[in-house]
Amino acid sequence: MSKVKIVILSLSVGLILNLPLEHRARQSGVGATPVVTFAEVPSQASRISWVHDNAHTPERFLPETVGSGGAFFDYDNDGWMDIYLVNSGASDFFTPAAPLKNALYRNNRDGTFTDTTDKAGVAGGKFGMGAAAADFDGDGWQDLFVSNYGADILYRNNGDGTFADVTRKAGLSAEGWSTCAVWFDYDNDGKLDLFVSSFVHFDKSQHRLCVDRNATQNYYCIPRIFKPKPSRLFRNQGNGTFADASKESGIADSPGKSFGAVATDVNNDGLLDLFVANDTMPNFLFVNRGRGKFEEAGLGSGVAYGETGKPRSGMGVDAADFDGDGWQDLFVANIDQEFFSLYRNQKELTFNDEPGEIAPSTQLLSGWGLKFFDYDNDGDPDLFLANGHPDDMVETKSARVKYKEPLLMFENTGRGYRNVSARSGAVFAKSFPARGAAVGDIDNDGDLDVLVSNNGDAPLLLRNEGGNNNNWLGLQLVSTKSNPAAVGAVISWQAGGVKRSRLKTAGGSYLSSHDPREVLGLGAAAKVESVEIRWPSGVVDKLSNLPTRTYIKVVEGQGVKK
Amino acid sequence: MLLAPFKFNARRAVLGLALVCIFLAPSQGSRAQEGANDLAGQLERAASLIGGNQLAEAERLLNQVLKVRPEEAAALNLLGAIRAKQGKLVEAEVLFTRAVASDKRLTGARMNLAYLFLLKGEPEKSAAELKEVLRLEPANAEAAYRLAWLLLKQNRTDECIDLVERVRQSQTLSAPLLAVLGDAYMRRGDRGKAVGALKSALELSPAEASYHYTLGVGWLKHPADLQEAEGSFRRFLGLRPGDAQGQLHLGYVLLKQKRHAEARDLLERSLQTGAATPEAFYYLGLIAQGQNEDERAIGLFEKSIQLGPSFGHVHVALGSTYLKLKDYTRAQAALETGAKLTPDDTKAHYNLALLYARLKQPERAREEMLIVERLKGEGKARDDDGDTFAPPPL
Repeated sequence: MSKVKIVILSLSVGLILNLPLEHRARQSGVGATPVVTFAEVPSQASRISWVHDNAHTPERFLPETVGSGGAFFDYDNDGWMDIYLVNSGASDFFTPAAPLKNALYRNNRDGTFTDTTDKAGVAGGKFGMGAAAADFDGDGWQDLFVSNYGADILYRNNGDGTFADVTRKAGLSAEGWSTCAVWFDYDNDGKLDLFVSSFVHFDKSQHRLCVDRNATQNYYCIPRIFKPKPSRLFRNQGNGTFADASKESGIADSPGKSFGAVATDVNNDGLLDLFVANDTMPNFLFVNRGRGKFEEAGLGSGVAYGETGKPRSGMGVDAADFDGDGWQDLFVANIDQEFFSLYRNQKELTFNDEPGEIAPSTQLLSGWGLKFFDYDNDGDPDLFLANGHPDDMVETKSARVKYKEPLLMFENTGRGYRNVSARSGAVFAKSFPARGAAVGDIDNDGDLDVLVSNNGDAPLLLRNEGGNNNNWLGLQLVSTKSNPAAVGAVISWQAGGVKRSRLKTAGGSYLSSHDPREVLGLGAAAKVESVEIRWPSGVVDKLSNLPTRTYIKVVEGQGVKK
Repeated sequence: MLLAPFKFNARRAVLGLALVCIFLAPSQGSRAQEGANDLAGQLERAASLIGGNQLAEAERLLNQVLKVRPEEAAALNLLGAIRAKQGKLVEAEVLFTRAVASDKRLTGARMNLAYLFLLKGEPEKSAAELKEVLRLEPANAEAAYRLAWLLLKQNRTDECIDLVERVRQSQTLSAPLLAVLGDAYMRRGDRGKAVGALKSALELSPAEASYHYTLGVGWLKHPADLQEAEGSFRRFLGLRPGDAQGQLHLGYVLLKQKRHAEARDLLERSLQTGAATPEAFYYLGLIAQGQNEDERAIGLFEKSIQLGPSFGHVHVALGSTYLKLKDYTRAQAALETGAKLTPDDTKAHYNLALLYARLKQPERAREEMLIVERLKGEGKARDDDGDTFAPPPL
């Protein structure tokens, strides 16, 4: 406790960052009943013309159907979220007719984006899966990890609009099939470590033809037939290199078929744990026991299996304290007929599956990208789900399960979730082969927008309309002692007499990376009474006299800064 | 002429004299042989009197005929019908047998004999008569239906299907026969053909509630199609709104979809309308569990156990509720009872594994998970998570 430094600061209105004029004008509407919808931003409007190529072959190699993801991150530090999209590429089973590229789109601050991939040097070129952005070297610039089928890529941000491939130098060039990546600080040394989910042992030589009864039609194989593989944990050594800590941490003791992963603190001990979804295997809950060791506690905690002890097909995950009891709850999306699970934290490392209205809404769906976020800025985490069946032939076998599936939006009711998809915009009446989903505020208007990546299709950019009818305050956390992403920070705020709290998690969703800023929903309250940030280092910043409807920068131990 | 047709419905098929069905029509051959208008007129009048339950007058008329023609087959058949209506089955059998002996082609008498044998618990004899009718009159739809139904009741499923499919080659199947065929295919495990037959039956008789019910039960067979089952049971309840079994089944289907509020409403109604079974309380307990009403769930599970102490699934559900409440002593007792009563219940062993893991007994937890794995390997665990609550008993 001696390390705890409490800094009480105040802020003048002059520290408002990046508040667009149009949103200042909207302030008069505060307090109206929020009607929040998501509008599909057409590619003509966004100028995002990139389309995912899923490398579809008649043989149906499994990597074709699980990608891909994307990221919101501010690579040029201009205060606006840019977009990164991951594509397939050359591999042992696929040779594209023309080179395929990942895409980096710079936010032009006017609703449009410019493709800067080549200039930035982040085209990838591997068979891409997902992306995770964070400032791993603490230089103030967001770097980018791209998970691949094949070797992964770590791009270090040069700070001049370009990136350097530092994979080999960093010690991250191992081959495999990586899926989700999470930047977090598992040993609380102030540096961002890296967890990389591994899917199955797979290469072209191990591919098996999965055919129908008459052997006339190939299907994507159910991963049950492939061998599991341990995920990897890399310890940031602070010199641009990483040490493989998979064995010493205990992560390697649990081979899985891992997709989504989220870092959070499920037992409130100040150490970040990992919840990892596995496909056709029990999920993992890696509880951080300190001193660099994790204990896999999925079974006893009740998050590993379905209710009859059957492993399910876990894909997307996330964590948040949805019921406001101060304990992190977990969510995992599964394949159709398995139901998605909302695990309410019962303390003492026990969880109870309480999906409520989410269950019947998702019985026929397969969930990938998903995120708890406060879409209407009323202060509590709502839930967005992006869905799509992995088997493109599923409709030949099932009358009810479709390949393309609808998106879903659930509003937090305080006790659970209510399906509000029908009133959340016309896009929710459509169907998509969705995979990744990232959340971020692309127009800095204080309500969170969504990027959905579609398998073999164009991405979907959804602009939040009306989420900022409620008041809000955006925080950009700048660490000085804690890890650069401030993962594990606990933000508490009070507005309108209501106290709320949020733990800054890392990862979550599927193959995707989110806007690192935190938007605090204030509801109809005209002002925020207080904000407290408890940094992972133990430093506590207490802030008052804060503005609303703007983003502010909070520096660890120093409070609000321009 | 069928006085009181019975419809195929396993639940409602009550064998008793109230439903006795007697074939009264004299055969064409008999009438042709008779050749006398007054005789034909007398027989038709007797048949009409029997139909109107004026048995004494009918018997008087028939005795007049038999006095002149003691072995007149049609008259013997009608007199047998009177005896059957009077509950004098032995005499009825003698008369029907004499009728058949007198005119081997008198299919009406054979049909009556078939039904009489069924009433007497002699299905083989009944089947033999029906087969003879079909040999004489291959297009006799009633005989085909009755024989198919009888074969199905005797679990001679393949013979039943063969029979109906043969009949189908020569004639359009009636709705009852299609329903029997659907049920037979269902028992054989061919849900596709079963559903096809039942849907055809419903096209002919859309208001026949029992067909919707049977179809709904079919949709619950593995792999269940809950949406189809829901539709069938909803249509059934549209025709029979207060039927407790229908409510129980629809409630079950909604529970499987985790539509707890709707399921609860139906199951509570089923309790009021007469389905106070261990299953109904069990399902309601599962719903309470899903709605986080743990104390209520415990009460419902205990009620279920009172009604059916050997119903293993409910002990497991009770144990899982105690597990959630962290009452590990009670949880262990209930789960172990459940596992003993239903050793193939993966949920029992999974919850025991969960319990032992929480009690820091990893070896025991592992052993229980190995049992789960074994059961899954043996195909005793289904692909969905709802397999531990089987469909309601029929």
